[in-house]
Amino acid sequence: MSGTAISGSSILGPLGNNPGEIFERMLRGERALKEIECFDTDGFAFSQGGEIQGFRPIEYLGKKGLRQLDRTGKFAASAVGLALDDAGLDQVFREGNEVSLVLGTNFCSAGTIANFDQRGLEQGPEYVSPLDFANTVINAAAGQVAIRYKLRGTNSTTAGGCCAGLKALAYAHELIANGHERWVLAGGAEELAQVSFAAYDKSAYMGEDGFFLSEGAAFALLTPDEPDGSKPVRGRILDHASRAFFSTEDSDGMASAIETLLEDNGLQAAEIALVCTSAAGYEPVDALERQALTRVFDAGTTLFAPKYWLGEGLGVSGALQLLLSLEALKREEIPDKTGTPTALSSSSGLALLLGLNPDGLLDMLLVQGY
Amino acid sequence: MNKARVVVTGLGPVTSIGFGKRAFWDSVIAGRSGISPVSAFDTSAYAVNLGGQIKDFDPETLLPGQIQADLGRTSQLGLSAALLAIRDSGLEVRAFGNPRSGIAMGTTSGEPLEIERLDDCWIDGKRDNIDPRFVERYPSHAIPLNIARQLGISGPNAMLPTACAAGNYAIGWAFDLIQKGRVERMLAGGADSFSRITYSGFAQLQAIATDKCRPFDKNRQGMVPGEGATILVLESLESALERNARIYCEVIGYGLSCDAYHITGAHPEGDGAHRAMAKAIRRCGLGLDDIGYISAHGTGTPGNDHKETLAVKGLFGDQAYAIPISSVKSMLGHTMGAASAIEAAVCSLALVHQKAPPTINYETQDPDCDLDYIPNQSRDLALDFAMNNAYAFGGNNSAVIFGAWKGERS
Repeated sequence: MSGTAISGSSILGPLGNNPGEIFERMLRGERALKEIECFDTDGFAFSQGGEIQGFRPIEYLGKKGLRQLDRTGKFAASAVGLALDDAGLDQVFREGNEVSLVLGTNFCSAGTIANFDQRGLEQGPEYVSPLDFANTVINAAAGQVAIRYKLRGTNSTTAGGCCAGLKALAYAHELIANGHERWVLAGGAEELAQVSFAAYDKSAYMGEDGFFLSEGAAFALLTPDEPDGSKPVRGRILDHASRAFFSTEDSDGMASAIETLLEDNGLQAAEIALVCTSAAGYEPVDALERQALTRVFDAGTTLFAPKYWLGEGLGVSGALQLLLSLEALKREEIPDKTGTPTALSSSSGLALLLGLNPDGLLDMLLVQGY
Repeated sequence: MNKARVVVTGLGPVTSIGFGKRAFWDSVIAGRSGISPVSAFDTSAYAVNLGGQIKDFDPETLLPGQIQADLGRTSQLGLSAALLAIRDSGLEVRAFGNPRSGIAMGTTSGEPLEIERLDDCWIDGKRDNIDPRFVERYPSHAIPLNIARQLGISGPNAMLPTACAAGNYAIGWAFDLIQKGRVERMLAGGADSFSRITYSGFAQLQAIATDKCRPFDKNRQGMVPGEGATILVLESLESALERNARIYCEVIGYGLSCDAYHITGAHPEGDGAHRAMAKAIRRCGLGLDDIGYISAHGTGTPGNDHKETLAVKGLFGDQAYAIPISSVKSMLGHTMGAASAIEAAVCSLALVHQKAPPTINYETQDPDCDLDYIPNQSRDLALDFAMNNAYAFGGNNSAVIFGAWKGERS
């Protein structure tokens, strides 16, 4: 099967910075959930999240240019730097070739946007920060990262809650498949910000079993598949699909969407070694996903729910799902919630990644690992 | 695999100079301005007060019973644009109610009034008043999702918040999906609503004009923030011909690039803009002399207009002087994520009517911007291909090329 090749990657997350390390911590029963330190949670009903504590951007980015970057920008820039190193795309290469970036995010820089606006309200519009204004647009992180690393190809941002990262990967896949670009970094970034956390604190999501917000950044480098179909470095993206649902009871519709994606690729459900679910602990949506999966897959199919350990990272979730699924395919096992490694249901090397946002977006990615 | 051809069969502009294709085009050709003093919020503390605000937008009057009153303003603008476009296309709404139809939109700020309301609560010390629906209402993807929900569109759903080039990005994404046969038709466009955050930022950058928006004029002072929405109905040629649709034009292709230079300012030589245009022309299999009109990004800022001119000259050489170029931002102001979608509608209508709108408020030539900007009066053209340029914060550059529909073409 052909697709786009994954030949480099990076993770910057609360459980570590590489899939192997994250897997080991999952097997030890570690979750990213901890008391938040990066902002004051006094007055909130909830005070925990998947924060990257002790994050020192200077370790990833050096001293230069940090002032232009807000928290989301620092995450994105750090992770992209790691991915470029991993893929071997050095500065000389980037100056001679157009490397592209597609970044998925839900809020991008809600903290910066709120600070900018609140300063204007408190002190007057003449006191707002021009530097902060640049970071109030939703594509700010993608733009800042492109400047830092001279990424002169397509630069795009995708939105979509927990689907944003899968949408970024799908977009990158299409850019390559349609001949627009040859090197595309795709993934996502999200920050824990006090204002957005405050809104979630009041929402129905918090307080459900296991749901917690998280932050970080993760990227994969996509390139055209080798012409002769030879094995790619890490894996391949084979196909994708996107739908919108308008009811948390339409499990039939969701199941049908999954079946259509498999059929379009000549696959039977039994050939899928791993389904990486979107389940994040918000039961109405998790139940919809379970019901749909029950219709399509038999009981023995491996279901992997990384958000149990990592939390809901919104824009970063999609790339984390991809990289952890590739790790699972390589190991031919996943951790379960008891910390026991569980063998995959098949050795096909195929995984289906799902993003199901509570407001009805469904995005799916079909990938192949080793 | 044979690639499907993609055509434009419906237009839905919602702008400060008119709602719907006919009113909008009449205004654009007449060179009417939709810029006026801002009334959306108190501007007494600002040194400027002009905006491209849509003051007479009343969804209940425009589309009675069809726009949910509690949707965010950007969603209301977008949904109105979608309904107008669908109506214009001759399709029923239910034609979109299947997985082979989708929606792709662009925006700069999404639903900024939602976070502004949150900030009002925050500053007043009333965090308990924060709307618990914020997490669903504020994220920018709520806009195409709200439209999809109202119209029953269950296919691909995308929000590409790539700032002031976002409409072109959405059109490009929709084009790719149709061309590859993943879908039969897409609603594609952009929307943004007037926002104090955006206004404050541009005011602080001293980028807002104090009297008029004068793209390319020697005495231009800056841009004028605005709002609006436009959606295009894009469909496969096969689908359009099958239902005997009126075809405005064909989407031939597009090119994207990034300056990777500065977060708010364009590359000093227009490098990224040059590359985006070159990519578009190359991918479309066209020559430089095929482009008969350019809808410019043309914001009216001293720097951007000059750099755009350099980019056009750099690519086209002496031929640049023979290409009519105009900026409708002279009339609308800068409608942010809606701009390039509105300008895509301009290109579509220009190809149908063989006429290009003017750049209004053009009084004095700038020796550094010495191309033909169709000053003040619209112009009849013999037009086969129009290029829609749009640039954005983050250094994003885009160029989409539209071709005149003349029946079947090999």
